[in-house]
Amino acid sequence: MLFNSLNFLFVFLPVTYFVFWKLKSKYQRYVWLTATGYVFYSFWNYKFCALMAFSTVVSYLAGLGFLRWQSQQARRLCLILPVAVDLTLLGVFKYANFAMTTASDLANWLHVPLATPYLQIILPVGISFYTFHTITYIVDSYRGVITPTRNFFEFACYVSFFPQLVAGPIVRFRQVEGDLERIDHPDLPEALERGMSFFTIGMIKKVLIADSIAVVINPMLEQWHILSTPAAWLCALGYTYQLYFDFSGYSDMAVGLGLFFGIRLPQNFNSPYKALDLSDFWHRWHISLSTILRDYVYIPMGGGRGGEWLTFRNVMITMLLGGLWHGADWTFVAWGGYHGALLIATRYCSGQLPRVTQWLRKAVTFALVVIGWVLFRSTSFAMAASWLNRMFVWHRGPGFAGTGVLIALLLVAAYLAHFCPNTFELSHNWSSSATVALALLFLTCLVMILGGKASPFLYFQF
Amino acid sequence: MLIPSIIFSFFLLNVAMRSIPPRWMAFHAWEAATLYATAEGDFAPNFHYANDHAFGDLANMGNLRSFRKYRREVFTTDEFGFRNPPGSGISKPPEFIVVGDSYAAGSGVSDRETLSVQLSDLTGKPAYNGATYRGHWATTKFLIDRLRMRNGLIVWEFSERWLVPESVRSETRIHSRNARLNASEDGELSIVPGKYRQWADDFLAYSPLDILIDRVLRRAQNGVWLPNPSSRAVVVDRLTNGDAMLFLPDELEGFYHPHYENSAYFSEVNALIRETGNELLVVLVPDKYNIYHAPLQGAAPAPSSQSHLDHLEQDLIRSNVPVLNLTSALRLQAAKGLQNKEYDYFIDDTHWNQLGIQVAANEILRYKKIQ
Repeated sequence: MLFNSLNFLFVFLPVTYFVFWKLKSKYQRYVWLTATGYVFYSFWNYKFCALMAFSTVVSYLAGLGFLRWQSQQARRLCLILPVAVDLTLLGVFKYANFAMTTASDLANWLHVPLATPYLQIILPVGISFYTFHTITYIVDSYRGVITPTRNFFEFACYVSFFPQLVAGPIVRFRQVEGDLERIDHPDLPEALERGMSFFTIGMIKKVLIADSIAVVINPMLEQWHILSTPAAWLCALGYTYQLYFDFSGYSDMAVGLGLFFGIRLPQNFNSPYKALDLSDFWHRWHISLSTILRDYVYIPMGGGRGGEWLTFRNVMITMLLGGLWHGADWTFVAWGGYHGALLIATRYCSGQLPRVTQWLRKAVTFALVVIGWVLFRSTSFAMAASWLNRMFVWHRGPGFAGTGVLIALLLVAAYLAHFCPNTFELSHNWSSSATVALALLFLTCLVMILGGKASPFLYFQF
Repeated sequence: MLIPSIIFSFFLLNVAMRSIPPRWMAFHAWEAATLYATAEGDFAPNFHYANDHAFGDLANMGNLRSFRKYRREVFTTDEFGFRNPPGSGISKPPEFIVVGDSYAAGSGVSDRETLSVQLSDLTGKPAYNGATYRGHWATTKFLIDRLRMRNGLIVWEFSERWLVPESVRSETRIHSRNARLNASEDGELSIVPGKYRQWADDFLAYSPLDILIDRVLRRAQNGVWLPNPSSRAVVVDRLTNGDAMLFLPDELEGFYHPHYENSAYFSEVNALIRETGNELLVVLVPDKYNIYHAPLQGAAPAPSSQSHLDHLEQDLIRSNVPVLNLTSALRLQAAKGLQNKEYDYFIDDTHWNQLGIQVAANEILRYKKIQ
């Protein structure tokens, strides 16, 4: 079930909201949010609720272990065992077939006979997110940054809270601990209005901008091998804005939904395409992931404290893992490595950068990011190479339907991304005319969600 | 509170619009007729549809407005939910009961053009159209008993796209849209799902608001303003006479990679029908691509292996099940009509047209005479 679906808007959200506010005690509200989180997840595949429950129970017990035992040995066990369980789950479900395929390809290349099975594994939706929730909880508990909770449903509600369950932001327990404590009397003035505003803006970004761009560029990218140079650039820019508006739109909807229940979810995007350099970009893009990589991978490895080469190593490893987190494919790893190299270069040139005018820095940073997204979007290195080649070496090619609409969308998207405040920077106090305009755009989103569902079944078409 | 009001109003509108009769929304009869099928047949009982601008399922599926061939379509059902004028089969037992799928039911053609009516017109004897989503023993038994048919012929139309069921027993697990009637192992018939459940299922499935919005969006997805993703749902190929014809991708798959099955199903059905004092004739109907492959421009060569229907025909002959394979007759008619652009299947639909049904009726009677 997605936020931009009718089941969610017409049934799940109203029921969850009204029952939540009817319940009075903290415990009741934890239980209700936990239950609704599992219902939300079960719409995708109810069998994998057990996996999420298992991860939750293991991490909760680890927290209790930290409360009970003070010896280093016991605490280390409470850290290593659950983190190993979580990483194993993630490894098996997300990376097992990738590892098999890689081993097989390597064996073929080396002419070594190796038969690797292909496992019929379904990737559980959201596993990358909820395992990171539990891992950060365990590590923060070990470090003494947070006090683990004794209340199972408080913790379970944090893990399975439906707004951030399947697409983030990745929330650390410490970021919502206070709001969870006050869940029976949230102190958030105008939370509903603000939440509604976030949700509406997020829906507009995702449905009207991101999904509309996707409708045009996806068929173009299926013919990546014959794109003309203008088409290749339109696809690259299209995907750049599609990804931003899709992801940030979904994050805005999550923030809005959190506010409906008195939970403030953190900002995940801070106008990343206004970044002055790649380091600045990573402070603005998918902030919840980048800060987790910084705090739980980069800094524990030594961060920038071990001299130039060690710093570069740490940056590269962190970014490669960040790439791998996004998907089980070498193109994602390569994208991570690309950004790692750019971060290293940025660090190396950090003395000279302030001399360059801001608009030029922004333009160059944006161009470098666009090139990275080509790698990210490509399903193979051949596709990436062909696409980039067609961007930078003149090629003719066929025209594609919807080019005019795409250009119009790109102009709107560019204006919003580069020159307008982001959702967190807005005051969300709308005038009557702005409210009506937003409402009409929201209505348009509903229409677009409802339409475009032509049945593929020959015997049921209208 | 504007946003929640919009969501609520939208929801109410969606629910309220479901009271719009399906026949007002449907571009052809089939979908409107199959909604709210609460009787024994797969169609709504006592239903009537008439549209001067009906067109084919493939043109709709592929969102290809330029391929639409508008035609008049009249579709009527009786009190049992089968496609016959009301009161059919009550006055006297029929000589023929036609069972099968949408080909036998006459999807795309009008009431007077269906196989059962053409058989009746040619022989002067009453014929009953018992076709549903698929030919089904429980439905056939129900009709034989209800119509009190004896010494008649069950014309069992079977089209190339289906797999023969493993056995009559395996049919007892078929429910809902596959067949309204279910037969238990001891022969007890029941309607599944029940009337109220069927009504509720259809109420949830049918949304005029969805349909209208979808039509507006598909107007914009014309391959110029926006890409037309629906076009991938059909295959457009050109005949040697210059006309373009639409096909289902599955038909090409079935033609170039035919599947075979070995099943005692029709032997069982043959024996069961004989016990009722009637005869069976299995009529094999090929897919459109099978018939029109030869005159296509630039099509890949036909496979050297047997087609699904040819294999099935030999299997049934070995099992002493009366069978008539229409492939040769329809190909012959297709070749004859090519120059004058007279086709035995619709250009914009998967199904055969009146001419193709006429060929089938004539072949059935020719077979009967020879037997």
